[in-house]
Amino acid sequence: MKLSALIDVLTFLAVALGLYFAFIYAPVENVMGPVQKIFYFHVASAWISFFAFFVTFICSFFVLFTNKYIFDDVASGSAEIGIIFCTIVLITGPIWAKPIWGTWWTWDPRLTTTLILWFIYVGYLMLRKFLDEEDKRAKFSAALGIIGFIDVPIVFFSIRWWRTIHPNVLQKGGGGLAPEMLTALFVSIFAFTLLYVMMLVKTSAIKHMFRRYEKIASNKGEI
Amino acid sequence: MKNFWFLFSAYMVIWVAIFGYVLKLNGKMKELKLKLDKLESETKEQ
Repeated sequence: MKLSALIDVLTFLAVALGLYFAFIYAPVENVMGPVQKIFYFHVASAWISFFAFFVTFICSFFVLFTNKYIFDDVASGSAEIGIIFCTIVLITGPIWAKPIWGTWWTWDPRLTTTLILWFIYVGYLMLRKFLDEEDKRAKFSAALGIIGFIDVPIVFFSIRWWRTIHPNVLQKGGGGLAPEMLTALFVSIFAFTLLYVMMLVKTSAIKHMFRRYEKIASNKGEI
Repeated sequence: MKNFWFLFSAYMVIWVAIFGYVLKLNGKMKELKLKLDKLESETKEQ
């Protein structure tokens, strides 16, 4: 079995396990009821978007210092995946907030900084679309990939630095979470990490194939 | 079940976004592989 196929199968199993832990293993929360189960994949998505932008940040340094396009492929692919997960966070958050806070959206520091993060990386992808020259595209977007990452720790620490209504579960003692809930959260984070790896393998392969296609086509005189 | 529709819509958003993106990636991969194989075989023939 090819490695990519093995990752696909493992991801599927991990996601199924994550759903089992979230819906069956973890107890229903006393105050919020079943709607609290949004939490498991909402938090996992937030973590994966942070991780994806971190990979973009690291690979962007390699782009600037090594000039190897493989790092540009991974950086841009990871940013794209980060946006997918950040979008999930920004949509599932308000869906959870409406029945609990009584409002879809509030300009809370955590929510606002997350929205800014989303705009930064959408800007990153737009910048790549507008630049035709390969070298310029790689270097300019690497610079944005490094500067843009500054917002990630701001989002993470926003609930400690400013007054906020957003809950803080990722602290010592699990923020008052029952042990079963904490286990379910870790299982969903693990499942989404595998999902991220699977997506990154695919996006990197696509970018690599596209580069090879362009090279052969330009040698042949088609481009 | 209280607030069922909120729970249902949140999970719908999650899986539609994830499966949509994975399907898009698989489609793109297949298309590129076909194009690349065709181009490589044409280059070999020349």
